[in-house]
Amino acid sequence: MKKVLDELQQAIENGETQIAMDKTKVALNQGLRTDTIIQTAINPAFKDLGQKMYDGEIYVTDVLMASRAAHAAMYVMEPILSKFSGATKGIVAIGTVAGDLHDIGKNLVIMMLQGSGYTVIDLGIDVPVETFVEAIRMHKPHVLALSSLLTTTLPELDNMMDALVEQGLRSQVKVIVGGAPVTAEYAGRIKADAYANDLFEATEAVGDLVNNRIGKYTI
Amino acid sequence: MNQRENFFAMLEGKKPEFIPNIMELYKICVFGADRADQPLIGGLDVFGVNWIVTKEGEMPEPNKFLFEDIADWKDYVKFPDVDSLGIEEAAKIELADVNRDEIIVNVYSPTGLFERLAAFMGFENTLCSLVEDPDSCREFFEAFANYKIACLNRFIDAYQPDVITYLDDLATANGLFMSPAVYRSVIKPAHQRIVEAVTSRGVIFCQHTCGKCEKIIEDYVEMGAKIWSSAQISNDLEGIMDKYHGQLLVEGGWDSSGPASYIGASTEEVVAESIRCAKQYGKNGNFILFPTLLNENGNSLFVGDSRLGPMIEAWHGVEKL
Repeated sequence: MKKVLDELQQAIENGETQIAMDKTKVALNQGLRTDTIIQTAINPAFKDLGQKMYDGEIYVTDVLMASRAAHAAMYVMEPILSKFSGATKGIVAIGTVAGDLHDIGKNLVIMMLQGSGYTVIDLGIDVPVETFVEAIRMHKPHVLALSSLLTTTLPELDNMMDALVEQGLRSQVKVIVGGAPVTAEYAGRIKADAYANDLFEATEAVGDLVNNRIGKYTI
Repeated sequence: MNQRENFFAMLEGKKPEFIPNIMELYKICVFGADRADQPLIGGLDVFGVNWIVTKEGEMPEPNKFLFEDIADWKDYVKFPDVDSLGIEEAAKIELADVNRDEIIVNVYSPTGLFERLAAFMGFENTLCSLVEDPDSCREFFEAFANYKIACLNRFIDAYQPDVITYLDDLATANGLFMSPAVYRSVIKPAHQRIVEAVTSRGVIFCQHTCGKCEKIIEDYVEMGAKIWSSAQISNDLEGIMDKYHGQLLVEGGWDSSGPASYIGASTEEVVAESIRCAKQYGKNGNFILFPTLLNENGNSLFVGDSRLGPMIEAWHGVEKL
């Protein structure tokens, strides 16, 4: 059983979608539970990829291909996962703030989170504060992930934090912020709960926030 | 020396009299690109891609793709007739008040090979295509290079520029979008033809790539680029200036994601960043300051800003060499 999980992990790291799907089916046929597959093959694959990305050994293209492979594995498990409402690792609402049309960073984080077993509500780009607020009320996410790629839209992060307080929602959702001009210092200044510099940090930070842990990226 | 003489001394690896900044060094020309590449005020470009104007520049309308499978590109991409673009007229308007004896005429050619494909099919599709279907990507890049070269030749005829700045953002703040091997195998052959088309006409080639792209600077130098812009601080700028002294001018240095680039940054913060750049990079002699200063109306280089005056004054006030 260990062999098929190792092979699945390798297929994901190599971005081999078809092999990842085949190995997931084999793993399920061997009686492995979905949570075992996620924790023993998919999560370690992303952990390895994160380290390699940090070391400059792999690039965005490699991560994209790996995310697609992980998605494929999750797709195979979806019929089983959907039977158990508690199967999701957590709900994350995510969007790029108002005035900012960039989506690649956000989309990569979404792929990573979904590939890791989270339910993601994608609110899109250029998202006004009101839409984030509505989404929190409607979907009750564990985490609100805000992306700002422009120095000109940084103040929107601040506005969002103010709105959460004004609307009485601050205690109901953890907030993680990221994007090129965002720093840990800035995240601390606006009283976000976590800051991530890349998609791997974001995934780890979301895990910590969902589980109420103080992690490396918690503010 | 005036700006022009000083620039050419730097280019030859000689010690300049002063370290320039792009605001005083160049006449930057963008009207040709407005017609050939991406419209300055937004709207449809000559390929049918819709561009949205933001405070930091234009970008293709998100999530609206001309095609999603690179294998289909020939069905959707129709190259415009370069004669119909009106590049000559653009040059006449833009060069009306230029003193060529004093400054450097720098014509921008945005939306390079990678960015153009991303404008057609989005970043994610483009990045996956580079790995999944490199042959179709190469075919597209070669065809697009033909169009680009035709436009660049027109730019050179009409503007008689000193410098062509070719813009293609191949990197994020953390590193290249694709591995150097993928860049070299899939993009570089067509990129090289573009560089050669410019340099073979005696025009200086400036490669603009934002983000952390230091792993392919050697490729840029090898192909014949003499300037790298907008060199961002995520790269080892001092190491690159040392390594390529006499071969490459490094244009940038500004912390474009830092507090001095935030909306509402104080004049003091902007001045402090200007002084940091002067002290940290000026001594190398192959540096050109490229500040990124934004305000509520957009990029201050184009819309003006009361902080620019004190910033330039501070830049001049620092002994750099």
